[in-house]
Amino acid sequence: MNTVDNHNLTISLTKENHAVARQFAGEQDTVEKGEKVYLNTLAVYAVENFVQWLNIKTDLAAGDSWNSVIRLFNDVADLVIPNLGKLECRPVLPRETVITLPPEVTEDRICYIAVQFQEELNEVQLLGFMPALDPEEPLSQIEISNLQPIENLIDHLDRLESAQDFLYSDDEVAIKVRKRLNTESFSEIVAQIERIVRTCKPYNWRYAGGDFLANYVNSEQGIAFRSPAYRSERDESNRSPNSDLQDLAEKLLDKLSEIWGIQNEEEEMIDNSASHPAPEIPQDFVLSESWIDLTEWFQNPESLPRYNFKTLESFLLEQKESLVFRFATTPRSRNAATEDSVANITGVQKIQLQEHALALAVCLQLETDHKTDVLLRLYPAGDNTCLPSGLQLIVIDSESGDIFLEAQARSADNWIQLEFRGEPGERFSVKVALGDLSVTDNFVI
Amino acid sequence: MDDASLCLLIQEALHDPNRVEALALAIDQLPEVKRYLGPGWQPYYEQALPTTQKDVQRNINKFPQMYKLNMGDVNHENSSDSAQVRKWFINWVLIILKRDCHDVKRAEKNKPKIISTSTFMRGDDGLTVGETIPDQTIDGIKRLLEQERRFMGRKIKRYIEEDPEMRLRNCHPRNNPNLHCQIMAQKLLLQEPPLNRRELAKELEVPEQTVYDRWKNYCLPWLLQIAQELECE
Repeated sequence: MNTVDNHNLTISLTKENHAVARQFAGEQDTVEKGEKVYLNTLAVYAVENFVQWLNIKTDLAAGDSWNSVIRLFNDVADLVIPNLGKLECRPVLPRETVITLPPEVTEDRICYIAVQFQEELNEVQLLGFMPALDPEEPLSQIEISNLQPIENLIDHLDRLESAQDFLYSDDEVAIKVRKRLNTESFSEIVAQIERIVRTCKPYNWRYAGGDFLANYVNSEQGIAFRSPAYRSERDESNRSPNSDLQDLAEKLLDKLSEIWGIQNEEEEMIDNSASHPAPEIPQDFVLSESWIDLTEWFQNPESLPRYNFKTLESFLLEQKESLVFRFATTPRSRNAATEDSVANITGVQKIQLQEHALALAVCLQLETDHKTDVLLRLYPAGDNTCLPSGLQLIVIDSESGDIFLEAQARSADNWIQLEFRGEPGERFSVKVALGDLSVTDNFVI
Repeated sequence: MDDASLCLLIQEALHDPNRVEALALAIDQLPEVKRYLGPGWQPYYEQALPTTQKDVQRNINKFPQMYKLNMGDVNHENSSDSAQVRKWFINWVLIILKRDCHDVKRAEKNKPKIISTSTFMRGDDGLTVGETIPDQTIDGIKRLLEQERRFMGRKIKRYIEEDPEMRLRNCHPRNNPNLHCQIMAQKLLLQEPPLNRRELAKELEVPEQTVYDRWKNYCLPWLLQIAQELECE
C-alpha cells in the first residue's frame, strides 16, 4: 500500500528555524562544518517542536548546540529539558541507516533521537530514540533499526522524571543517596540508573549500580571521585565503602524499579527473558511497519540496505572473525536439490534484542512455478555461539494475524530456522521474540 | 470497531465535523488504546480522556500529515490498508493520551503545569504553525554558506592557542594551576577528536565534577566573551 509506506512522525520546519540555522552555520570556517551545524540546528528545532507538543518544557539556550563557541568546534545537537537532562538530536541524511555519535556527545545525554532529513528541508521525520548509553563503552554509531519508537519517548521521559522526583523526596533511601553523592544534578545519574535497570539482569543491579555510584561518591577527605583511576585506588585501599555503595545502589534500584512498575522477584533472576522491563507498547507494535518487497530483492539486490538488510556476501565479510559464521554459506532450502530454481538471493539483517545480537537470514529461491521458497534462519551475531534459550522465530500470516510457523531455541542451539513457500503478493510478518521483547519485519512476496 | 469501520470513520471525520465527534468518542471503544497505554498511565486515563478526545477533534487533520498518509487514496475495504491506518491512528492517539495523562499526573503532584508560550500548545491545530520554507534544500545550504562564512572558528582557535593576554592560562583553581582554561579548551574543543569531560578528568587526574565546574562556570564564559570581542574587531 503506497499510501502508508512512509509512516514516521513528520515535523514541519519554519522559516524562523531556517533563519537561526543559517546564522549558526554562517559562523563556521568551512562549508562542510556549516552544513553540519545547519542540520544540527534544524534537528534540535524539530525535536523541540515535538517535545513541546508533549507539553514538556525545553531550554534551547542552555544547550551546547546553542553555545556559539562550542558549536564551532564540537559536533553537537543537544536540547536541554530543564531538570531532566539533554536529548541529543542527530540528523540522518537520505540513504543513511545509522546515526553517528561523535565522542563529544557520548556522555551526559539522556537519550539520542534520530531526525531524518530529505533533500527538501521543509520537514523532517523523527525515526525513533535510544536511551542513554554506557559512557564506559561509548558507541560511535547506532543502527536506526535498533531505535525505540518515538511514540514511546514520553514514557522514557516520565520514567526519568519519576526517578528525579524520588531522589528529591523525603524517602530514607533518597536522603541517603543525596548525602553520599557529590553532584549538582541527578540527570546523568538517573539516566544511567535507568540504563542499568534496562540492560542488566536484576542480580547484577547491585554491582553495576554500586560501580556507577562510586563515580559520584564523596571520599572521606571530601573529594569527589568520578574517574576510574581514583576509583581503583579507593577500591584497593578500602573495600567496605564499596560494599556500602552496593547496598545503597541495590536499595535505590529496587525503589526505582518499583516506581517504574518493574517486577524484581527472585524467580525472575533465573528467567533471562523476564529481566528487562517490558516496554509499555510492545516494540513490535510500531517497529518495522513498512513492507519489505521481496520481488525487489531479485530485481535489484542493491535495494537491500534500504530495508536494513545486507547481502549475505557483505555480511559475511564483516563477520569473518566470528566463529559462528566461519564456515557459513548460503543456507539451502531442504527442497533445493529437487526443485528448479530460477533465481535466489539472501538478505541478512542484524537485530539487537537488549544485550543479544542476532542475525536474521532471509533466503529466497524463486521457483519455476512462480512460487518463492522462503527460508528464515536466525543466528547469534555477538560473542555467543549459541542463541539465547527461549528465543522464538515466528512467521505470522499478515492477513489473519495468526501464527503460521514457529521455532524456539533450546539451550545450545547455534541457529533455528523456518521454511515455507508463498505466492506473489502474499504478505507475512517475521517476529523475533525473547520474553516480552520482540522485533517484527513485514514482507510481501 | 473493526479496521474498515474505523478507517472509514477517520476518512469521514477529515471532512465532516459530526463524524469527527463520533471518532473522538470511539477512542474509548478501541481496546488497543487501553492495552498499549501501559500500566504507568492507566490511573490517569479517565481524567485525561476528555482532553484527548477534544484534541483529536480539533487536530484530526494533523493525523495524516504527521504520518504522511494520503487518506484519500486509502481503500478502507482493503484489510491491509485499513489495518495499517488503524495502527497509526492508535499510535497518534496514544502520544496525545500519554501527554494528557502526564499533565494530569503532574497536576496531581501539585507541580505547576508547564504552559508553553510557543505556538505548539494543545488546542492549536498542529505541530507547527509558523511559515514553512518549501524551497530550502541540502544543496541550497552549501551554496548559501559559500557566501556567508565568517571564519569565527579560525579566529578563536588562534586565540586559544596563543592566549596573547594570558587570560586563559591564568584562569585555574588556586590549588591546581595545571587545570587552566587554555588546556581545557585545547582538549575539549580543538583536539581531534575532542576529549569528553570524563576523558579529560582521567588525563589530568582530577575529579570529573571539578572539570565540569571549571568548564561550565569559568572557561566557557571566558571563551564566549573572547568570541564576542573577536567578532567586534
